[in-house]
Amino acid sequence: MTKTYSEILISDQDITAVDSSTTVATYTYSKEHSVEMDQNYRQQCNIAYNKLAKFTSFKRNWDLSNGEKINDECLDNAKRILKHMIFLSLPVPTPVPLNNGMVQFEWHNENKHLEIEFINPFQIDIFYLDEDSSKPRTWSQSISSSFEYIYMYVNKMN
Amino acid sequence: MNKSFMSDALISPIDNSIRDEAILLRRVHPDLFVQDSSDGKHRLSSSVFQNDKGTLSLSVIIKDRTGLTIDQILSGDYKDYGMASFTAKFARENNQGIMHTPIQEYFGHGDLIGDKGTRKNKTIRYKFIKHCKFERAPIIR
Repeated sequence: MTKTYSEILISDQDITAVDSSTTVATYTYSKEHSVEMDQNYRQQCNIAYNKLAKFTSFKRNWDLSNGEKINDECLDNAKRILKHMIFLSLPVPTPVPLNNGMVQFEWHNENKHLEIEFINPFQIDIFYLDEDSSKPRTWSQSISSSFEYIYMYVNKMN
Repeated sequence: MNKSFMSDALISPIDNSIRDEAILLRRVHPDLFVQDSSDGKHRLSSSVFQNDKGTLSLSVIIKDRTGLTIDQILSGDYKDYGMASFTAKFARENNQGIMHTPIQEYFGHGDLIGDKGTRKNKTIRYKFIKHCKFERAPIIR
């Protein structure tokens, strides 16, 4: 069963407001675009999204190790990139809060590991490690720059 | 012990009386456990081995100096936390110094001192994750 929300933008509420009785839902990314997802994928999206929402309440010392309050702008960027990933049906990351108040996304698939760290409101650092090859791949990019490399590496985590 | 990462002045407090076989414990916040898509099992996030902000240090508990059980260590505010462990020998082999730094809460408190990599090279953190054993899984709510 497919359910279409033709006029709904993905927002904080939409991700969690989907009717759980449907086996397949369609999220609308914009008025022109929509993406279908099965129940398992939708569940992963909800878990990731709910984690990010939870991190907004993490105040100073959230980890009992003097952790910084989680930065609101980094959280907003993380939510935006997560939505973009959902739209592209990419593997869903696990969001992780960092002691320095930032956030990172992680994917692990046996010996392959990918991390995107939101290091400030404008920039992300990306780290990819394939334990079967010799050197990790790393690079930095602006939040607003091309999604091409992220897409390529996140797809490797399938 | 490899001392190349620090000056002698900073190395002096490192406790050589901690045996290589000593077990070092690291408490892990529930949100620092992540899922591996290959088998669905949980593993540690690399951030578990990220030094505290602005320092070269990470808090650990030296098991044989605590006099406490894992359950006692993970009580109160830490009741949902998991616990990972690794050996002092492994830490030293990866250029980490170990200091016994008792605090009021735990006599067995220690610091793991050394470079844990950067955002652009987290390979050492992955070595620790691979070596670590789970003493107790977290309670994920």
